Amino acid sequence: MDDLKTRLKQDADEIQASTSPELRARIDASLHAARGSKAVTNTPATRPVSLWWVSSVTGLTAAVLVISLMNWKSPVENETQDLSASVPAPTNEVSLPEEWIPGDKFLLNVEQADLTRSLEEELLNLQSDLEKAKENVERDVKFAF
Amino acid sequence: MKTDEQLVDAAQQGSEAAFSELVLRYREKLFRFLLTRCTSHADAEDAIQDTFVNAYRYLDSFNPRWRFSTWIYRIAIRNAMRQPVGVQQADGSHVDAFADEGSGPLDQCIVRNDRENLWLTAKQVLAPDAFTAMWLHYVEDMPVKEVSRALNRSLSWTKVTMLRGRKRLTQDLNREKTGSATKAGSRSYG
Repeated sequence: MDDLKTRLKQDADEIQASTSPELRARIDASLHAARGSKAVTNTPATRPVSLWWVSSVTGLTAAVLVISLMNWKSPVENETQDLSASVPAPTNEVSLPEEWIPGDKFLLNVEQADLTRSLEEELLNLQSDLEKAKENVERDVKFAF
Repeated sequence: MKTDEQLVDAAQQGSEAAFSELVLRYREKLFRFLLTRCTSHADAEDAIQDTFVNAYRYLDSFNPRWRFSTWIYRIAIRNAMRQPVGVQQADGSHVDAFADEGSGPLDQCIVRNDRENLWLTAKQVLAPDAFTAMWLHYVEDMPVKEVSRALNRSLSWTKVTMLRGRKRLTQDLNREKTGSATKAGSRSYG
């Protein structure tokens, strides 16, 4: 060991520095506080797992509940049948409110709306076209054979 | 007796007793070291408190490739650097915070004898990081590689700095020896 090294060691030993009891108490107290805060900050690390389970179970329960409610309310078809049964069948008679009927002074001629006339005409046209086409075919067949 | 690394491992597993043992091992050494870096006794006390608290908080991030001593000295150096170095005056001049304490807390802790303490000389003639490098190597027996890690400097920088510091202190030591020899000679012949 050279002189410098020996001397540096000796001189370092001459530095009398020791921690006071107050400083030790301070260090212990701050470490205690750090342990507390570390424990608090470590707690959320386990939270997501439990939250995941809770949210999953809640979601599943909600889904089952909704499905069961949907199935329980399903007799919609019956209800629609009932509704259609409650609707009165259309009649050809037209009834007007009494206040609309002027009495002796004015006679209101009410005619039934003929909504199917155009369709019937179309049907007749088609039938005549069909007969013409049939005649043409028969004539062609006669010429051929 | 468990090694530092074994204690760190136990502390990482949650053993508070293991960390307390580490505190006990390093408390006095770190405090003496921080007195050489800080500008006042109070700053050194704050720094050592912060050092242990930071070490505890970031214990999980400790890399086992490092030595624990290197790691905790690195934290201590950082905390010492955070302490106020001096007071900026209104005219822009800089006054050391321990101007009224002689050469600072180190000077107050030295047992007086007939010769000058070489660390006081080193404090005056070396830059702070050079002083720390010398201290860690010669007092704490830290290898040069670990010193460079603790200071966050390159290995070559650490080697060169320590060589220069060693040269400088050797000169002072030789001058002191020559001076004392001259004094002794003058006394004997005087």
